[in-house]
Amino acid sequence: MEEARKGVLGHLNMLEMEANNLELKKQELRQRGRQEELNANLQALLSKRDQLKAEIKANTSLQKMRTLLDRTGFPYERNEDVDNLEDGSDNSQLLLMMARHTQLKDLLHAHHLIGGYDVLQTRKGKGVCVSLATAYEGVYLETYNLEIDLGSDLRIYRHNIPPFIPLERLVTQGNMQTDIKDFLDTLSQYLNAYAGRKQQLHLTKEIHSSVQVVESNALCTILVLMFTIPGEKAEATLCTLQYADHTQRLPTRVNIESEDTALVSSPQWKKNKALLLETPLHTALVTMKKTGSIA
Amino acid sequence: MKKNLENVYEAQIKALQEEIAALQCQQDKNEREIAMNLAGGRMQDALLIMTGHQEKEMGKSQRHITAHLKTEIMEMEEDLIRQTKINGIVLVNCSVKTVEKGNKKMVQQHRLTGHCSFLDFQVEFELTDVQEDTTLVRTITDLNIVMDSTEFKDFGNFVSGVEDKRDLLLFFRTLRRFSDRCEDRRRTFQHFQRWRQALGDGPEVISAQTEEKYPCVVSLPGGCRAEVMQIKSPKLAGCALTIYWSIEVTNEGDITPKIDLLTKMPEKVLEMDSRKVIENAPDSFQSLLRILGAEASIDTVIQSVDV
Repeated sequence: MEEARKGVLGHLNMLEMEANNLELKKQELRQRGRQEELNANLQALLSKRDQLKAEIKANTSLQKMRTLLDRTGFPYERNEDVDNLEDGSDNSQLLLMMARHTQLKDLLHAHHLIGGYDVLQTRKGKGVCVSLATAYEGVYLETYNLEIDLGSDLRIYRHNIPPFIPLERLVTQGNMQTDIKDFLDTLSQYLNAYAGRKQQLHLTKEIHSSVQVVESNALCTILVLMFTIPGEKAEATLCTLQYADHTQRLPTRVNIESEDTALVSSPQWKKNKALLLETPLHTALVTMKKTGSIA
Repeated sequence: MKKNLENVYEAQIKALQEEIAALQCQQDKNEREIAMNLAGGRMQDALLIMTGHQEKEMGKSQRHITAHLKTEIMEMEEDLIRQTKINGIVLVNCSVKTVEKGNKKMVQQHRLTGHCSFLDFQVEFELTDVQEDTTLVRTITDLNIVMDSTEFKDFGNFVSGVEDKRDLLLFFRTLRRFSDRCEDRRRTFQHFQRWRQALGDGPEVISAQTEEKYPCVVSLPGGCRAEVMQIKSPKLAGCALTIYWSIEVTNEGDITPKIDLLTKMPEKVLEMDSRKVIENAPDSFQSLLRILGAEASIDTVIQSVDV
């Protein structure tokens, strides 16, 4: 019996030892797994850091080259400074080209921002597309486009210019064939004046809720406003603004009508009339509110 | 012992993460200094080469990339020539710095130098782009213009007004038209200066010594870019006709050239002028301008003195 028990115990002992061994081995494997994971993580981070360092180095060299190009102008000549930036590798020529690329991109973007015509060749050189940008008081507004056919005569075959802008008249009576720049300048004047008047109306509606816009036309050359006069009487006062010159953003005529006849001839309102003739509408109304002329 | 190795790894990882964060910060700062405009394309490829990527992993050879970049550069140079020509503005230098870059808002500082014919300018402006719903609203939030042409007082006033209103586009539109009018003036004045030279044997026509030789002297005391042209006849001492050609600019950018004739005559001559020809000369000149235009009118005046 004793021997049988010793045999079973021994067996059990052996199993326990085996189980412990297995447990140890599992722990080792887990640890090694963790270590490998950490190592992999480490390698990935090392690689990322090196990549960043290389990018920063490249960027810094690029900036230096660009500053140099800006200073020496283009076409650049091989001079000492340029040579110094070169590290003797093929990369230096590439660096110079990259710097020139950023310079050109900036210059072209600048031409666009200052209201340039962004002339684009279309239809394999048989046509051009021109963009007319508009802006008012710092806010960039609508951009209009023209596609011109470069035949024996210049001809506009596509555009998105609103119908109330006299494009047809400018083409037939103007100098599009002989002086396209002047033609575009004139058209731009009309468009910018229209955009400016429209924006003044938009700002007036937004800022001055007490002022009611009774009437306005698409070209924003006639505006009828109703003012609320502070005080007990609160009579209706109508103000008509006429912009006879469509290339202007200020009115050519201001007319004030009121049930209160004394108001129209008062010195305060004579001043207001003058103000409306010389100042953009939304700005003039601010002053008129401050002086208590309108509510 | 094994635990130590893990700790070492973890410490290294933490250090690297901090280093990467710092480098990332530096890279962000760098990107604000120079707009890389990568977005795929040639510059992206070029940057990959610069940062040491192997040709094999990129699938394109360096020569290939260099050639493509070169082509793109040439195309942009041609484009720049086209834009310069049609816009009438030469931009010499341009720098863009990103001041703020958020999810929906970006603010950039632009600095431009250039010239429009002989008028140099230096323009700095701050551009704010805000993404509102479906549209991008672009606004100029600051504008600063420096020009040396201090002699053009009118234009100077216009420039201050335009800075206040931040109307960058109006500035350049007006600058172009103003320079065109200045060119008209310069060309006409120069024409008469040369014409006078052509009549004589050489460039001495304009000098004082030859006053007796030639019947009339046209002089431009301020040069051909100035506003004044003087016409004197040596035979009629003390008599001078002056043409003032000013170019007015309103705050709204309206340009009006104004040409006036002024006469300077000695008392005795004025007394003899019974038909008030001299007194009426300025007005007559205005009528002449309306009918004949600037060059022909000035020519007429010179001829009339050239008796």
